Amino acid sequence: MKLLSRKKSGNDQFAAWVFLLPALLAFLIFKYYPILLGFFISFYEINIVELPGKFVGFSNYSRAFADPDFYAALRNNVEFWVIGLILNFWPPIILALLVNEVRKGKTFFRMTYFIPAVAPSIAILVLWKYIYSPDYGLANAILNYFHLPGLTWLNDVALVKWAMYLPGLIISGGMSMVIYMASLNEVPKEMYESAMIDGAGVAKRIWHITLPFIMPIVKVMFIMDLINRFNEAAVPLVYTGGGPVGETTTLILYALKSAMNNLDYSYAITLANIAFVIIFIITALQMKLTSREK
Amino acid sequence: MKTMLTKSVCLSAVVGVALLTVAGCGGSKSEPNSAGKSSNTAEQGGQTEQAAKIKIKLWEKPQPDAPKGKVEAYNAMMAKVKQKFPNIEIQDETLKPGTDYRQEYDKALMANEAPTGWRELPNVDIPTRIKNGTIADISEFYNSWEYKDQMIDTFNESISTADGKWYAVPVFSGFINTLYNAKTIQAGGGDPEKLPETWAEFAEMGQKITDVGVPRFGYEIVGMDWNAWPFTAWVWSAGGEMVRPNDDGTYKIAFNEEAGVDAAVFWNEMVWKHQMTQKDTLQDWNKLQDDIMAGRAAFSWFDVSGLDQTALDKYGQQMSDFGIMPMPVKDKSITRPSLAGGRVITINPKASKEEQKAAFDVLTYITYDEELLKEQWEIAARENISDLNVPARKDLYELKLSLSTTVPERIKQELVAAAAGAKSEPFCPNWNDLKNALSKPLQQILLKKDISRDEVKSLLDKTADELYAKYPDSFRK
Repeated sequence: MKLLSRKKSGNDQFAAWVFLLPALLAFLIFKYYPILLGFFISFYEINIVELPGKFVGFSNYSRAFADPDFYAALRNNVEFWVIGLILNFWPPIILALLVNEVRKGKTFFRMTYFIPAVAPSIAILVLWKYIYSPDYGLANAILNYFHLPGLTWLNDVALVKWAMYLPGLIISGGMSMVIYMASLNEVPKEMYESAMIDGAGVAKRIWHITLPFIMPIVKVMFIMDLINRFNEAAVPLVYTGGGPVGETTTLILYALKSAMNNLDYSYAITLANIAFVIIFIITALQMKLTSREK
Repeated sequence: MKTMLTKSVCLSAVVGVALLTVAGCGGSKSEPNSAGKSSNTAEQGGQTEQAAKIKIKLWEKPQPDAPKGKVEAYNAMMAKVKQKFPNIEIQDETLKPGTDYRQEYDKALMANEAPTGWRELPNVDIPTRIKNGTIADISEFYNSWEYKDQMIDTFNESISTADGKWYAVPVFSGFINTLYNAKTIQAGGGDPEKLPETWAEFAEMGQKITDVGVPRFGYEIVGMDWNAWPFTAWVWSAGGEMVRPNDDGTYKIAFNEEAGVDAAVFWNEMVWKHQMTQKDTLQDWNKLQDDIMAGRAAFSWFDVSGLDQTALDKYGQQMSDFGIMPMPVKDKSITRPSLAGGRVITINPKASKEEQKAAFDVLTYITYDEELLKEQWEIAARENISDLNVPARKDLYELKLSLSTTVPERIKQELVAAAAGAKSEPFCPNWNDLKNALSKPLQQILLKKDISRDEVKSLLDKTADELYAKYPDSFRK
């Protein structure tokens, strides 16, 4: 009997490996190989005609760490992350909690907030770019209707980051909200019932039952959000091209511009590698803190 | 037994999928590389007639959605090429459209799939590519070339080196000028027959025309990433230069001299004092083009080669409503400048000498042969395709204009006048780095309402100092 179960377990393992192998190969070829190659190339000054070029050791990295534009881009990433936390991270959680409390029409609210998330995000970004146009955009038309002066929105150094992330509520808020709602559905109803019997109000139930229960998913979403913020390039590229005055140039966008505008491929890869390491370290720290709490 | 069979089938299936994936990534091994050598021995064997032919690769084929006229012109051109060069076999492909054509070329070069010769690189790229070796030295072809004395010489500085080496030859020269929309000028109460010649006249007319309620702007200012490009012409219009050559081969930065400061201050004044520009000063290039072509702007910095009735059709505009004028100048003692740029023929440095010569011969033939060019221009005229660029053969410009039936006479005269005052961008080493460095301070100048002249000077001085520090081999005080 023991022999039979050991054989069966061995067969299961073999089958699992067999089915995992194609995906593993794909990951190795299309994800890990480019990452490793990227690190390898960052130690060279690329010669397109005779690859890989001249070995320069850490000089690309020294150049990055002495580059004021690098630090400006990093600062932009951090600012985007903080603004993203305020405008794009917490509102879907609050929205999910509120919709979860609704007795009738829950499905209606869920669909209403989710449908915009299905639309292509680039299309929404371009649309908002026109909305923000200081010359003939809808945003200023609304302000003017209320006799308020128009703003320069994406041309305003102080306002641009906030303006860029406001549409995120529509673009990605719905998707996050649905994920949180799925997690909220797993909270045992008996816990709410006992809390109500003990006299706990809505706020106390949310604070002591709901939030602790969904915290694991919140932490995962937090890490995903952090990774997305540090990989940000498409949003500033579409909205502002990295301006005004470099205020929306992120690390990855700076890398992209180094490659596209200056044909400086080695430096571009170096910047991308540094972004990767930063994300990796922050994620590892976050996960270590999470496991310690457990 | 059954389990063994299942295991074997699963394992074979997985290994098969993995091998297919890897083979798919590896690409075809039987395609010729950029040097035209096929690694497929079956192709090489037994083809004694073709063994004498030189194989080259080009990227001349029009896009799948190209107008009928362009396809006809291309077919006629290739027929003539085949007749003229029976010993050259051409593998011609289409480069996918987009603004990343430089990166596509670099990618192809790295993968040994780049064309043997190409006619798309802008002349401004050549100094960088001479440095990084991504284009071949074509001096030996140039020196024995029949048309070298007849080619336009507007940007010789960028395509050759001080020691007499040549790396490219022109395909055409285009102007980047001030485009005006006569209908928009009239709508704003201006007179298109009395175009402004000085900054003061330009500001007066621009202010008069601008009405944000319509919206209608006097001038579309280019504040985005590329702002140093039009700023160059504005510095010239102030009587200044962006850089001045030193005796030792380095360059002194000049955009922070009085003329440069004047130009930058005038840019700020156009936005805030005269209020004659769009408020979205950092809007992207496509939107800028949209505004002038749609009639929302009266004047705009514009690449003349983009002025085409087909492009204007979607805005409901007529080419006869547009015109080209050189830059207005600070005062009438300064010659009104136009910026000249263009595309060049470059050769793949990885190709063999025979292939490079073959590509040079074919590409210079299609760019410089009078009979072929005349046929191309006749097809363009018949098919309503506009082309306002100056051809590489400077002696054929009048012929080209005379054959063009789509370009209004007024624009033809304006083009000839613009050609007379055209100047090319300076081609100092790290010229593109200089322009990139200027982008942010120019945006700061455009965006700050009450900026003083001293602040403008300070910003430009700071940029100059950064360039001196970063590129000491190129820039020296």
